[in-house]
Amino acid sequence: MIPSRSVLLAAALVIVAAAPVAAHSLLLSSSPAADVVLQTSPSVVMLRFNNRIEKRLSRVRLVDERGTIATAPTTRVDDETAETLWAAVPPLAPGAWRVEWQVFSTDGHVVSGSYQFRLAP
Amino acid sequence: MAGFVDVLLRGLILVLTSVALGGVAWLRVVLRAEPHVKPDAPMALALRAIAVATAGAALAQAAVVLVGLGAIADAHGTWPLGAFFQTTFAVTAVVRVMLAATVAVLAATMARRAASGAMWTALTTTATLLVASSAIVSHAVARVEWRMPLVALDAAHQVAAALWVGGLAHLVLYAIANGRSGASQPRRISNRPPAVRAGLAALATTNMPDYTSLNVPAVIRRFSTLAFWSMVAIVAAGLALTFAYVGDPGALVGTAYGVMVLSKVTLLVPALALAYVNMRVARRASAAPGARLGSFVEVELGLGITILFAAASLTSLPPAVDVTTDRASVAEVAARFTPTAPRLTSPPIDELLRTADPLMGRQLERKPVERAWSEYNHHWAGLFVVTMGALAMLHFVGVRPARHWPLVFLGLATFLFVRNDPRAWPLGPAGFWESLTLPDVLQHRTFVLLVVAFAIFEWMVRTQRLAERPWGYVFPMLCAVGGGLLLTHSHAMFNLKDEFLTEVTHAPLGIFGAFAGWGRWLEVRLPAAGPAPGWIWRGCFTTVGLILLFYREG
Repeated sequence: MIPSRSVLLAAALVIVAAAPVAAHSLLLSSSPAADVVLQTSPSVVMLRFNNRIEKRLSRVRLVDERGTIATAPTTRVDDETAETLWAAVPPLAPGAWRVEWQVFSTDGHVVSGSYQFRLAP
Repeated sequence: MAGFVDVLLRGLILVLTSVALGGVAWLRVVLRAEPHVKPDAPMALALRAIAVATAGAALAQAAVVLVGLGAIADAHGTWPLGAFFQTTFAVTAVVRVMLAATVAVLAATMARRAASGAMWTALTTTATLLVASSAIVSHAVARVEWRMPLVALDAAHQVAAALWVGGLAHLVLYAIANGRSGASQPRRISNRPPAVRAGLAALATTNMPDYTSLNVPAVIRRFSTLAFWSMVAIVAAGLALTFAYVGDPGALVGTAYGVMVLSKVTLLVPALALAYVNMRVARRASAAPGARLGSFVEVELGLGITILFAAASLTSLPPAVDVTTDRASVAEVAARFTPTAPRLTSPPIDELLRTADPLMGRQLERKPVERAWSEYNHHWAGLFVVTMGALAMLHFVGVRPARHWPLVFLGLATFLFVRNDPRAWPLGPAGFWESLTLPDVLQHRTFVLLVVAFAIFEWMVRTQRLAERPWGYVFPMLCAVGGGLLLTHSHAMFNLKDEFLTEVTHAPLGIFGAFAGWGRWLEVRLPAAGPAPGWIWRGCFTTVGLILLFYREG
């Protein structure tokens, strides 16, 4: 988006424009890691956040270069720590994949993000 | 957008629930309300204020639930009601709606008739739970470690803040209501000692709220004591929370969360100074406390409300202690505040149009030409604001023609209109009407209209076409509200560090905006305070311009 928003700061004494707030939940680590090149398709995606998340309202999906979505159902059992989200991954084709996640933190914020990894041919 | 609304609603809830709990303390501790006694006029007023505030809090809390649910539905494409209403957040929020509604009904009932001891206990308990339960929808409840101690600390922090800000709100409310019933003043004056009569006479001539009709200075002293211990608790719990959520000094300046904590502290310092002055006045007030106390209390309340909105914005930021890889260094932050020559020449519009992201697209990276465009806009806008500040100072020292300084806002509005988006008319390919169909452009042009309206309005006040009272209060209120909103406002960008460094100047802009507003408020409200408030607001206003003039994105 073109930075016309910056103009508004000039008259911020009067009013400001609405815009999204900053991210709240932080992705601290993941498996596969961001930008890694894998030799075999991962069986799960693991995401660890800085705070507790509501797993039933959080989700993960994988998207390839053509925009095809591979569903990755998240585990809904409390067998992991409160800040970790696990998702089962179907066999993936070689190429670049983007992990898109969206979580609902325990204190009521919806946060989303994404990162990429590559699967070697 | 949903995030910004969420922060505003959370800030509003903090203010409204503070009015509730602070009001209960005001009634029980300051006015010494007793069970089985029909409330007198001041007590009934406080109870009605509590009822209205908590009714508003119930609605705002319900709206927060809907905003959260809407955000999930938007992401999922469905409405997962069952799963949502099993979450800690939703359960707590629903309970808070019920608590707020209970307080509203209790307070409205008690305002009309004598209440039993059980009703007073119920009111006190539900109001306290309403405020304390805010900790269960805060960072504390989502922490992986030290969860319960942090919930307890956060609850204590919020209860103390509610007692302080809510108590101030009731003090101001009482004074305003009492000032309106000024018909009885002559009779009251005649019954007072000479010193009190002098104070009341001064109030009558300046049409100030009558704080002296709290009658006994002991009442103000009781409030002063309550406010003092509330402040002690605020600071003590705040220090512990800062240690837990910020961690080390580097995070205070290198993360958005840390800077917001610093902003709260910066706003708290003058509030504390005013509180100290008010406390001294109250404790030696064998005579009338006078108009100075009244105006200072209003400013203290205003700063307190701004702090509550800054606190609400903290809920949307990741705790600084968690931000390790995306943290900015002190040198990087300092670089953003190091003045360089303003960029007063526009980057080529053609290049900007070629390289910029689609107008409605998500920003994926900040390109150099976009940075140049942004800095250019900031710098010209800063030039307008500095010019207004300088003219306002000249007017203050007696240069009469400089009183027309608000008209410079028209220049700023013209600049905003022309430059608000390079893709829109008159710079870009999108025609005038076509560009108005774009939400961003429509938003900006609506804003331009507001600036034009405000320029004419304030000019009419300065040239005495409109009376300074009450119209002179509009400018400081807008400054204070704008400053507060700026503290709650941020943009989603590429990563936390970029976002933080781009917006690190928002915090001082918001703070100086709030200070300018409350300085001007004092200038209008308390002419006897001398030139200091006038210099304060003009200085802060000019500083806002200077920050814009030297704004840097790289």
